[in-house]
Amino acid sequence: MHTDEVRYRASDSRLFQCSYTFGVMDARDPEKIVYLAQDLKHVIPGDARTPGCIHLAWNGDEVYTVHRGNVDNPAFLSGWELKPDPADPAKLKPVQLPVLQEPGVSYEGIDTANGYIYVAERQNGLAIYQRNARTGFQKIGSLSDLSNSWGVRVRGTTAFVSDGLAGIAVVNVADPKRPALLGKVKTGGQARGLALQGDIAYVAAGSAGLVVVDISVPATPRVIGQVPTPGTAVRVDYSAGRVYVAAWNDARVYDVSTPATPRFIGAARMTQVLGEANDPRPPTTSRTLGIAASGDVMFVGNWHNVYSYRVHPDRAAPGLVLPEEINLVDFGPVESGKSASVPIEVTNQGTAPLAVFNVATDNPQFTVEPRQARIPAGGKATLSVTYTAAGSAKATGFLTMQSDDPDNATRVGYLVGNQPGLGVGKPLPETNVALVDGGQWSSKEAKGQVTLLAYFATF
Amino acid sequence: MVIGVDPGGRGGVRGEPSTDDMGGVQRFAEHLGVTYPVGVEETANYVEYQRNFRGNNPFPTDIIVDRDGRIAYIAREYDPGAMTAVIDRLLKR
Repeated sequence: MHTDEVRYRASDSRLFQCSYTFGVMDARDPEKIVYLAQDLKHVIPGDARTPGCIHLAWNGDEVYTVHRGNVDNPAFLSGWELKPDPADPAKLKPVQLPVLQEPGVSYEGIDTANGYIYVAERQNGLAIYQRNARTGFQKIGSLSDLSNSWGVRVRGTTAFVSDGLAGIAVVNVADPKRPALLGKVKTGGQARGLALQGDIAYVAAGSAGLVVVDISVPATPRVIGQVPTPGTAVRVDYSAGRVYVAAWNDARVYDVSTPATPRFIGAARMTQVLGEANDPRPPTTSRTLGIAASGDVMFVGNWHNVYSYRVHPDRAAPGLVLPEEINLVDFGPVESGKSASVPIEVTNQGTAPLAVFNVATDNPQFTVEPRQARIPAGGKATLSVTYTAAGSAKATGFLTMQSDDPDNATRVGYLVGNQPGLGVGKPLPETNVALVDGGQWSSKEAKGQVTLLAYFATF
Repeated sequence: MVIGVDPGGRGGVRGEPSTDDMGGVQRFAEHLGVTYPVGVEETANYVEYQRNFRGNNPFPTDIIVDRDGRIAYIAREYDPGAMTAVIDRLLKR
């Protein structure tokens, strides 16, 4: 599915999602969300590819959708008219709107207001469109004096643009043909998602986490608060005094009754079983990119599904967090009879003390200490897992632990020593990279340096 | 040092042919505002890194190498806190 954006429309309780397809859900009962239309793919004239979307916004019965374009999908601005399904009045049969593609334009965040469509367009800045049935999408104005625009939210005649490394830009759009920059402020990280509430903009700022910006004076926005997130903060929403953050490895909720000091309430980590169903290794964390909220309900879109959660801010609860490498704890090559140890940090990100107990392994070649721990809210403890090799063959085991975190009653880690192939302790194989600047990088250059190789894809 | 590596030449999603070519990687890096070196791998190590992981959830894959050229950390889920701790430890050696 690869859900990117979810947005909730309170007027009719509809939940819209952008993923490898576009979908519309009835979320009147968040415990029984029902698709009204799903698996919709965009038809792009002259292009055999049928993309989903990355961002969306609506104006009545028209929902506008965009894709930034990548190696697998074309960039476009389009949308859907939400028509009822003549065969089933309980469902929708949306009709795709005409497509706009402009040379060199990558479409990102989108919002609607004042009868216009506002689109953040990366290095091309902010663009403003009008749409009518006769002429389709027409660009009527743009502001290019931005850096790398990703998101936009419009309120009245002011647009707030999340502008990547440049932070937040505030733009006067009273004259849509001549949008004018009013002010900017850096947030740290990469400013991406944003949500507005009163004089505050909440920004999902990548490695900078959740950043709180005072926008009471448009010409001089200023950062008044910041909360780190364990993963990359990608999107954010606000509802009923709380801010919700899609933070790559989980979805997080904060009380912002005092906006400058968000108070952590809780987080939800979702996993997915990958590969063979009977593979005993633990499921992997599903990346969380989309989030929306209404009252005490949180809607989350991750790489595999759409979820709904109910937030209980009055309850205190422990929150167990393990390092992501728990899914493969690699001890590397160890000689027979020798030992190697790996520390596993256990964090309590919750609001109540955490009890961890029955910590054990199922293979005597792997031992763990301590077997239990009590961790205060916000605290950490370290487990030491030791592998003593009985031979040179690959050894595997499972580390299990129980806790009184209701979402992590049992956690499992996968331990491996002397595994074949590439892994911890092995020399970095010869690696040659052709750089985008025309140069070359070789692993020979890594000698003597601490090096991070970050493998990625462009989709 | 940090280097972003696209494995290049991969199959597309849903079985459709595609490849992360240099032009696509360059545009991607520019769009993101990446400030460290980025490129396309000419060797073929990526598949080998994936063999010991469960299932097909390949990106990102982060590998930290110590000063002696040995792999000190490899993970498929992004964990900046853990990675920072490993890097700090290796830098102090």
